[in-house]
Parts: sequence; structure tokens; C-alpha cells
Amino acid sequence: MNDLAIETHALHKHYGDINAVDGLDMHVPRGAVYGFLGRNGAGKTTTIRVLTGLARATGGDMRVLDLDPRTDSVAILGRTGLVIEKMLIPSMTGNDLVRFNRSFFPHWSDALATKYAVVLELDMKRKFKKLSTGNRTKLCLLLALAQGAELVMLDEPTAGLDPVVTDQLLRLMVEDFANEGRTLFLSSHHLSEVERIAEWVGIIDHGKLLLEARLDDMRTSFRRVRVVGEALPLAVWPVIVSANTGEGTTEYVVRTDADAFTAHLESQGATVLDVTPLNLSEIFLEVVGKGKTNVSVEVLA
Amino acid sequence: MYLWKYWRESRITFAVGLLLVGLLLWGVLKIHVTAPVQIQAARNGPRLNPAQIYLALAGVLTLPLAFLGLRFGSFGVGRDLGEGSGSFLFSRPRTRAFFVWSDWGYGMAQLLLLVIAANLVVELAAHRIAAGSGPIFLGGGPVSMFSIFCVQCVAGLLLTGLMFGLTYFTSVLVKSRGVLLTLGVLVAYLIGKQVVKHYWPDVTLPDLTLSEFSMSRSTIVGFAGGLGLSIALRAALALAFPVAAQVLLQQRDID
Repeated sequence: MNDLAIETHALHKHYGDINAVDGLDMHVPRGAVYGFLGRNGAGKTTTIRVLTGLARATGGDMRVLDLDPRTDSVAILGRTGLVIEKMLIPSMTGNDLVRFNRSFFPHWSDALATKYAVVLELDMKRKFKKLSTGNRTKLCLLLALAQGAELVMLDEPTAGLDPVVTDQLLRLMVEDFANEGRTLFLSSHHLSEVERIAEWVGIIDHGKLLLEARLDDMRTSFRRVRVVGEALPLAVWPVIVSANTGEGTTEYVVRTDADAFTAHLESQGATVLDVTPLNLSEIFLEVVGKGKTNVSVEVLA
Repeated sequence: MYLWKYWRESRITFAVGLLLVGLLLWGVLKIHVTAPVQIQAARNGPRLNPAQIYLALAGVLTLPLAFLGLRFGSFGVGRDLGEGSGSFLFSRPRTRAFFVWSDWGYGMAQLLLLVIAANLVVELAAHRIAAGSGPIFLGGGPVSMFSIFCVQCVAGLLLTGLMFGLTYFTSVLVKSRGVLLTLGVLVAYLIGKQVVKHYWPDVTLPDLTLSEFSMSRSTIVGFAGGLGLSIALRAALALAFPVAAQVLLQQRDID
């Protein structure tokens, strides 16, 4: 059995001239909570659609649970809980949808469904079309999480949820997925939420994966280095993600080997003011927001 | 359980269909009870032909049956695509063919029941109005009411099947505008038929029902005169639309 729940190589999905997914190389370990981060329109949802067979890949290779979505999408869907569009069958109540959904999934758990309904404070007797946006999202999540699936793929799962419910949901997901060998693939641009529960992070922009690494590795490797000095070696060091000069100081963000980098700067006559770690939000902004450098996946993975 | 979903969507239309059949039955019984004098007078007049009465009444059913076929075709996958729940539905672990043919099978089963029920009432009406009028003649020879009943049931099923399949396909193609597109296609066909008839009188485009065969004794009795071929072609056409819907769904991305 492959150690990866999801693996893609040079995955492409084009809509006419638009490259929604443009050569995506991604590796999601089995049993991991994987945060798939990207700006709006980065290609997150399209990637999930392609991986589940809802959309056809234009090119490249992919495996989901050791299966090819192009030919085995039914088998993949039978083992995957998916939330993509927060739109269910409008005329059905929550209870109807549970009844409808249960028959498709052999590992469906009524106990889990009841638990999520209570925790998420859902009125299961209300028709889907009469639910608020937040409650619609909750019901979608309930249906996906109660499947008892090996792999759960959630696209922007906390969109529309209030902070209290978001907090409860994240706790529950950690409880249900920790040490169970199940994989949670979470696409989002709410970085703080991902940072709270994810073990792995992939950052996508313009259809390309710019960074894929363990979150802990990212935290220990990425550093902001502030220096004072003349004729500094701007953007020539291979680990530099970004470099900004202003008012006598230069601020570098490096993705790894901060110690060696600062030693190099000092050998060039620069004075290192400080070296500080970055949180996920700052790393994301450096990698995507400024878009100067693509960080190679191998460095941290 | 998927059939339960289709049942939920179609049950009101099915109930309306049964209600229409019930009203027809009520009307048949009421006429016999409240207008015995008129019926007796009709029986004493020129000889009534139950076969023609049957066919006249069955002709009246064409429009409601076509409407029911159209309504049933608008349920299922096309409706989900129109309402935006297509991603949810198609992320259930079944093939797209499964969804199409489950919808089709269950919808056609309901339509078959309605067609048979409606024809039973029509046959009852023909019997009651023309009771005791002797052997049934059609096209110069005797036929059985059962033969006419069978041909009319097949005709009704083909008509509703065609409407169902066409609407199902157009609903997959253009989502919530499928019913309108179906009506547009029908109107265009009916107009085209009249245009052809006007400019090329020798050419006759097929009728949506099997009416050209209904009045022919020989075809009803022996399935001669192209009735079998006509049924096969219409059945193939009615089936072509769900097949096309399946192919379309398999080829396209679900959004």
C-alpha cells in the first residue's frame, strides 16, 4: 500500500486558455491532516474536483487512495468524504439527507451523524433550502464526516461558520482524525485554522504548488533576517524567498539554513540585527503574496 | 435509496396524474348515472362503434400524457444540476449511468402505470357508452377491444417516453431551462410538420402518437403495415435521449 493518500504529478486542468491547475505535484501522506492553502482562484477547488472525478484532468498523473480518479472515481468516492459546493438537495431536511446519504456508504455512522448534529447545533428537521448559509455548511460537513471515510476532502469547510462553531468543528476533526489513520485534506485560506490542526501544508498559487512541507519543519526553517550593511548579496543566496531593502536595513526571508545564511552575511561585513521565526500566515504571504520566488518542494519535504 | 429521491421529487406529479385518471373515471361513471336517457338515445340512434369512441377519448388523453412525460423528465439529475446540487449528487459513489437509468426506469414505471390506468378508464367508458352495440368493427373488419387497448397503451408509453427522454436530456444539457427547450423543440417540430405538409404534400412527418395506425384494423390485429417498425423506431428515439444524457454527463465536468 502506498504511503500517500493523494499523489499528483504534473497535473493539469485547463479551461480554454485558463490553466486552473498547471503542473501540480502534490504528496499527501496517509493519516495526515493536510492543509491545502491558496488565494481565491489559485486552483484549490479545481484540484479537488479533478481528484474526485467530478472534473477531468487535462494532463498529468494522479493517484487517490492508490486509485486513478479517471477510471476508479466510484471506488474513490466510496472511500472519500467530500465537501465541495455547500449545496445539497434543497427540498430535503437534514434527516432526509442522512437517510439518503447513508445508503451509499458502507461505513456510515449514525452515531457520528448524531454527534455532529448536536455539536454543530443543527436543526435536522428543517429543509436544506430554509437553512442559513452557516447551517448549510454544517450539514454538508456532517454528511461528509459521518461517512467514516478513509479520506475526507473539505473545501473551505469553515466558510460562513461563526467562531464558536468553527472552534468546535476543528476540535472534533482533530479528535476524530488523530491516530485513526484517516486522512483529512483541508483546502482553505483561513490560515490560523489550518495552522491549528494541520501537520502538512501545501501552498498553491496559479495552479502550481509552491511549497509542500510539514508545518513543524516550516516553522523551524523559515526565518526573517534583518541586517545592516553595504553591498549585501541580494537574492543570490539559494534559500532566499524574499529580500526587501529600506532605510539602511535589509530584511531577508530564508526558507532554510538561516544560521549559514547569517554567517555568510556577517562574513560579507553585514551586521545581523535579529533572526525571527515566521508563522504560517507570514510564510504564506512571503511565498504567495509577493510571488517573487517559488520554493522548491524538496527542500522541506 | 436513490429511487426514493426520485419518488420524492415526482410524487406530486404522479398524484396529479392519478387524480386526472380518477376524475376521468368519475366522469365516466357520472355520465352513465346522470345521463341514462341521453346514452339510451344514443344507443337507439345510429350504431355506435366502441372502437371509435375509444380512439376519440384516447386522443383527448394525448396532451395530458405528454405533459406528464415532460414533468417526469424534468426530475432527477437535470433538476439537481439546475439547483446546484449536482456536485453533491455526483460525488455519491455511483456511476453517472446509474443515476440516469435509475431516474429513467423509475419515471417510466410511474408513467406506465398512469398510461395503463388511463386506458382502462377509456376502455370502460367506451364499453359503457356503446354497450350492446354488437361486434366491434374497425376499418371494415372485427377487432378486439383488447388489441386496441394494447396499441393505445404502447402509443401512450412511447409518447410519454419520448417527452420524458427529451426533457431529461435537455435538462442535463441546459439545466433549469430544459423544459422550455423541450417545448421549443416540440413547437418547432409541429410547425415543421405543417410546413412540410404544405410544400411537399406527399411527405408526411411521423406523428408524435401512433394515431396513423390506430384506425387501421389490419395493423392492430396483425402488427402489419409498419406498426412494428414504427414502434421500434419510436422506442429507439425515446431511448436515444437518455443515452445521450448519459454520454453527455460522462463527458462533461460537474460544476
